[in-house]
Amino acid sequence: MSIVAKKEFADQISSKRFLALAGVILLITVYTVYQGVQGFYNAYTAGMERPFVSIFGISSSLGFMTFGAFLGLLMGFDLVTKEKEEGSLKTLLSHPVYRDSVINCKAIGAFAALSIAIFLILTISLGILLLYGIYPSFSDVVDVFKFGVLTLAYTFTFFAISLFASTIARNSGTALIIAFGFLILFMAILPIFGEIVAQSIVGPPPRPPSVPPPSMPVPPPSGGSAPVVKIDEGKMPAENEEAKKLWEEYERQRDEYWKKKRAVSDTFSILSPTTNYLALLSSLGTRPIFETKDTTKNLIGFIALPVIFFILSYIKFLRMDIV
Amino acid sequence: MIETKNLCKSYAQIKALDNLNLHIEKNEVFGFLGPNGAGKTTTINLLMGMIQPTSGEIRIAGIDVVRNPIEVKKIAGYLPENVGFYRHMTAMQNLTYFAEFYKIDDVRERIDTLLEIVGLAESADKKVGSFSRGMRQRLGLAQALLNDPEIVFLDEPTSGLDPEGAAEFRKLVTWLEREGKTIFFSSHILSEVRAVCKTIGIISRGRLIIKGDIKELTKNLNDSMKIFLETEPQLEDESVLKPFASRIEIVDGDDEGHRRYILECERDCRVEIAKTLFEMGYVVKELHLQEPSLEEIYLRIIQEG
Repeated sequence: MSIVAKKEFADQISSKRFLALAGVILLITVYTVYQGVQGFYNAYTAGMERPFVSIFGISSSLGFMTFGAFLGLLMGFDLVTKEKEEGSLKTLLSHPVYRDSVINCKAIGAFAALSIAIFLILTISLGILLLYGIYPSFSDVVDVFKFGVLTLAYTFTFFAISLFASTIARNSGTALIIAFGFLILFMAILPIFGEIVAQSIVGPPPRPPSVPPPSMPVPPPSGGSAPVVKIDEGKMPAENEEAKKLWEEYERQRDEYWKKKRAVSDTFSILSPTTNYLALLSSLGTRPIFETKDTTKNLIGFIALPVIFFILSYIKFLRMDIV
Repeated sequence: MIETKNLCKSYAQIKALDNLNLHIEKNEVFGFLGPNGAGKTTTINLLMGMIQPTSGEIRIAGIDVVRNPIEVKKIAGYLPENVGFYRHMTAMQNLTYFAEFYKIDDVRERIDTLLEIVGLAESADKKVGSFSRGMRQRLGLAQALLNDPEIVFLDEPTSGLDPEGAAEFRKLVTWLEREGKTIFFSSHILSEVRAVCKTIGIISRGRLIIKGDIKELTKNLNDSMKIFLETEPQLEDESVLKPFASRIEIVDGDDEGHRRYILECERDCRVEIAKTLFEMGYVVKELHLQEPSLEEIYLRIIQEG
């Protein structure tokens, strides 16, 4: 088994597209780490606590998110089709090697190549931090390790998707189109579709009461569309009692509405590796990079997707007629 | 050495192979003939355990291929039609990679020897992507022989080769036969099969039409004996041949316009013909039995089949 894995690993790490994309990710990461260092210093001088992992920054995550997805896709889309086109798969399988070993070793080789690439990128980034005199604590290193593991799983998800495309397609061109189709589906279509479905299921949001609120609404702190009502309980006049009740009921209905809508849209978005990756990244560190929420569903979706795609590739490859 | 019983392979509603029964002895050079799409490659893929049969049994050297394809691959070598390699790797790297699947004592020496045999020693360190088709075929034979196999499957091995390459290939097959290998030679090029094979099987539309020794098949399929005749001087009257032949065919004359004859006889009556013509003052310049060519047999079988 190790014979095929060794060859696959060597092929991956020496391929031009792997080196080019890993290089792009490295550049983006190094740049964002440099920017993160400045932010870290500013936070430090302002007396704020800032999670070490946030040095890698949103931009770095986005670099991994887009180019990592491309890297995963481009590593896998022709792994089977190219061998079929060139006839090397038939030659390989005429030797005493189990067919399942071939597909397993292709995945192992790619996984090892991705691991090394991510490890090197993070190590170089940490080296830059050390150069700037920022020394990570043990928990910081653990957070960075988690960041690396999540990123590895994320890129491997797209590898599994493209490997599946490679097993079902007749040629590499078709496999690439299928793989990118899945990428667009998971990164864009599913989250949008989830919103549309949620909207159609839960309907329009509840309307605010016609009576004016007991006191003036205070604008939301950041980007929220629904007004937040600030009620000064101590100075509440008796005639406002009715309005208060109506507004409290409205707020309850509104919260329930958004909760329901989010539950429906989340059902779709947990199938999106990108959404899950960002959600899980945000839960890292003492202070989140992104918003905080329960990420259990995201974690399940994040693990399930590559597993499902790999199992499908495995079954298809084993049943494939090599002619 | 190779035995199949009621072997069938279907793709959806199409029967690619229909009840194939084969028995090939050890050290036999078996030619597997048939038109394109007849089921030759499907048969080899099944024999090599590359695809699963719909029904039937396959045994190679007593090993059940369906249950133990890996064991079969350890004792078999396979040169696929349009053999493929890893184009970014050199010939040496490709062979070294495939050799790792076997327990070979001195891999480097084995590969060097094989590259020498197939005439690629000079190109060992060239990337396969730069190889011509003929070079790839020769490298394909080297990879098929890596494990010093007992059985070698050759699928259309000379297609795409120039005449010199094809002649070299025939020599290699003869060498393999001397080495005691069993050879399964699939081809649609009849002259190749005739040159290297002792026994043949003809397959058409997934069914084995006929199998046997080439000479036996020639004899059995020859309803009447054909005798070729040329005399000096030219016969004045062909009627002298009528007592011996049921049909007399005049074929194109030589450069001097001398006529030649093909006589269809019920038996070999060359002695009587020679005696009669001699007594009449003719010198028999040529008198031999004319056997049907493999092409004739093949076309007849395919048309009847």
